[in-house]
Amino acid sequence: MPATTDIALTAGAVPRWRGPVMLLAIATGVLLLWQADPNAPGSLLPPCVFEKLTGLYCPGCGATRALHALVHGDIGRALAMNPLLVLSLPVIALMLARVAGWLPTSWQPLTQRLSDARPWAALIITYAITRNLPWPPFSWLAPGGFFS
Amino acid sequence: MNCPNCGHPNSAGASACEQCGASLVAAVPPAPPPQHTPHPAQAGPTVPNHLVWAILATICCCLPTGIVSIIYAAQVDGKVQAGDLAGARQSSDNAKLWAWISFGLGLVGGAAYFALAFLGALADAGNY
Repeated sequence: MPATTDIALTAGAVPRWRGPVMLLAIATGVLLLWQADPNAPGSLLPPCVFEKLTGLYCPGCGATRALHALVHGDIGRALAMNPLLVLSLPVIALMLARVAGWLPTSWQPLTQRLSDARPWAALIITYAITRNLPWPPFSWLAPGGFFS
Repeated sequence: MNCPNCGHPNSAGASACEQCGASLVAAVPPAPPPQHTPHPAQAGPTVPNHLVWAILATICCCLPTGIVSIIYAAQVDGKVQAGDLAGARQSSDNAKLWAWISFGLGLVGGAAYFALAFLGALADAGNY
């Protein structure tokens, strides 16, 4: 039955290299964050270009510093730098595992619900706006805002 | 009947394959060959929304184009629910496209930053 196997391949198959390549990219990132310090002036890790140009915080601002803190075990600091990113990391990890084809099929209903993009779009756009507001508690959402 | 294991045409009523010995009795009921359905109908049609890449592009590249990608991803799920498969596929392609644009711009921006930092370091070194 060659026709049915073809359909199965095109419908749900994942290239075999995808998972390992993603793992390699993550390992490289962790290693880089372990070695380089984004808080140091003139660091190898680039700052947010959008913030440099506009002076506004985007949803990703503070992500490098948050991940740097996380790699060094400082969860409090990581949360202060980019709370949404740190809180959604487990979900992002699940979604990446799904893209890599490494999730058991019994998890599919859960990940399918988690990857509905509509709540995410609403959440991220709200986050983009609120983290630029100067008053607490919104200002805590800005990178390092909780400490200032 | 034909043996489901080796394909050998057996005489009618045979309980085991005359060629390979596989049981024909047990093999008969669970052998409805899957029909040529384009989508698995029970799970509902799935159109990838490329949401992970949209989120990662937004976080890594700090670009409004990442948000564009997320909005297209949201359109995919809305259109799938409304039964508009063609529209969903179009939004899916757009979500993918804008995620790639974001990654590309991020790479270009990163490269430009590296080049500037490198030139700056060279200029500093020249002062000594």
